[in-house]
Amino acid sequence: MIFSFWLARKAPGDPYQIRGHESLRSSNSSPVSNKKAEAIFYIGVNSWEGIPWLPKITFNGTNNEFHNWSKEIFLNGFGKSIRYRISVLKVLWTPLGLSVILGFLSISLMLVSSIYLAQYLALSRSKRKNEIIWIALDMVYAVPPYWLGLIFIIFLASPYFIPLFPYGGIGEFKGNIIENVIEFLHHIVLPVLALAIPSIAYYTRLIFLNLEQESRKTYALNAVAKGMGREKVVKTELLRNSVISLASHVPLFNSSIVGGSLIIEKIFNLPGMGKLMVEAFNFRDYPLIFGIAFISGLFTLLGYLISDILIQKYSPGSKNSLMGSS
Amino acid sequence: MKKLGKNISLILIGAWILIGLGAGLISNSAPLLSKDVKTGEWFFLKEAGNFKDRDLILGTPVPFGPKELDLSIPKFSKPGTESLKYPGKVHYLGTDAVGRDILAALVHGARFSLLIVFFSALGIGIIGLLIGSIMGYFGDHFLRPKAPLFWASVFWISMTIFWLSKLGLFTGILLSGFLAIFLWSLARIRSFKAYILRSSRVSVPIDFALNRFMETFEAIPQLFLLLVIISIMPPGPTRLLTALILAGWLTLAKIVRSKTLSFRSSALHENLEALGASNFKKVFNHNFFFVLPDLLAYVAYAAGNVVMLESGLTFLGLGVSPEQVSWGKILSYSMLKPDYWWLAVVPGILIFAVVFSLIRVGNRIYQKLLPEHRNWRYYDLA
Repeated sequence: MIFSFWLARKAPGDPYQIRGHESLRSSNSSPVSNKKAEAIFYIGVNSWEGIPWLPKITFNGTNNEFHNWSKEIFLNGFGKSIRYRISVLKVLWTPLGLSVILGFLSISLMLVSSIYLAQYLALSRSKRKNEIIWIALDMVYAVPPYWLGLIFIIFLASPYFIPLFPYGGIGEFKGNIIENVIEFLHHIVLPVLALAIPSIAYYTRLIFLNLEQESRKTYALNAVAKGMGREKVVKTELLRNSVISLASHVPLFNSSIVGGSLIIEKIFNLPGMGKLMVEAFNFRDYPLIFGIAFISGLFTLLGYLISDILIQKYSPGSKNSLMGSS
Repeated sequence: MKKLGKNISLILIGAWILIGLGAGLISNSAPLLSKDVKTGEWFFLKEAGNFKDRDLILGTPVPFGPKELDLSIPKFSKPGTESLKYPGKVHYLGTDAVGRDILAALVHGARFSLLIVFFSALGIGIIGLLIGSIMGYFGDHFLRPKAPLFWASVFWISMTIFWLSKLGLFTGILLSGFLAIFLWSLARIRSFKAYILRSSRVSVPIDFALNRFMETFEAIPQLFLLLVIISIMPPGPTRLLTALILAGWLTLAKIVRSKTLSFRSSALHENLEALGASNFKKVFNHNFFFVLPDLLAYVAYAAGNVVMLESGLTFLGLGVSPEQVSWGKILSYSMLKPDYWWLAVVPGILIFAVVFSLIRVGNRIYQKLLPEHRNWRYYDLA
């Protein structure tokens, strides 16, 4: 929190400077341009007037920017966005929903396809086919995701898929909700594909390595000897034990939810979090920046929580914890 | 053909390097060799005002420079348009929004991406190597100075930071030098020295501290971090390089750290210590060659990542400067004119080829430098 506060204010320019001078006259209360305080934090470290080489630690009391700002945040919510003039939560709600749905769909698509692919690779016997598939996966990994999105638009989007605003209508939730949902799905198929496909290679390799490793353990041989077919063993037992290493990648998913799909959103013109983030930075919209940072931190924590739960649930009696280890 | 299949990534990278280095020779608006009509003097890469004075002997393969605006034909022309200003010069891939030739932009984009990859790979390699080996070698309990010395160093470091930030670079360094001399002479006074020798040791948790430092970078989503860096630094190549280096050094530091840890517990290290190499400087040499295969392999991967990130940032407009040509810039033009498919396909194929070759080269480095992995399969890469 302190870091985002300090860093955002280091950026040159004032939100009012950028918006033009007319807003300076019309705004009466500005939580940002508090001229009286070079008092930003509780404790300031400056130099004395006559003795510049000695640090002077001043206790700035409770009338400083940081204190006021934190108080406002905890009591009133995030405050009003400077650029949009409405409360930050309202600004964040729509793009966050979109980004979460986009991220969720693309991650599930990616995981499901990589799980099936890894199973297929583990069970298939012909080495030549395996090598061809691996080379193809490496190629897919090297494709930049935004380029894939561009190709989708150019070749697939003109007659059929329309890469515009994904909602069929804003606020029309009466009556034609089914049509709304279908329209929405129609719009986001291409972005989801463009997001999911380049990451498949990485997760396929991860799961495949885990399956190989687990297949050398004794319980796998046990299960096959008891009468389960090889396929069934792979699909149930070995998969369960590869959840562990997948779960340690869950915290990485949050980056693709909150800000990672920035370029895809620009291409497909979706009003998601990436676009919001860039605008917030460009316009020095401090409340919005902090809101985004907070939400992203929240998602990171959620990711760690989920991965912790998954690891403890699926690990065979170990006491590993993700947050305490380095 | 089988040899070609194995070596195609090297061929592609070699082609990329050659085109990048020779971009000035390949695409230039001045002809390679021209001869003055009257005096018979030969000129190399020198442009004449009007071409009636010079006789064209040999032109460059791509007859345009990257920054030359061809205003005689409409913007965004199609491939194969002949320039009306210089008849005989053909735009092989058309022009962009302001009249620059696309093929020339591709060639110079190769040079630009080569430069960016070189410097950022160097930066990532150096920073990752240093921090990773420091973390792995020192651990948590290696550095154990005497307590007063430790606190004196902390005091000195904090005063230096204060002076450097408040008083400027020169004065800060001067004052911190004075403080260092003062503290050092203080420690030599007999009574103080006796106190220092009597006090117990304090272990400096370097590994722990640097790990937390790395974790703060890890927790931030990558694009968020890039955006933050881009918004607080003035535009220019420094900004791009800083952003790319900061995005890529984390994993390298982890890899180097784990290899250094395994080096520390190896027989080689014991022998070196027995032979007298005791401190970090002496051991670093040997450690370097130990971690080198993993480092090079990861730097190749990171270079591929850098190409993708750089073209992504230029695509968003956050690159070096608005007039710098790059592959990502051509991709951004393709968004304006979606029916000109070559604007999207050609740079994309080039980016894909370069990234893919870099990844494959990374694989092959790993394979060649570690003999126990010689029977390597694709899925062995952990």
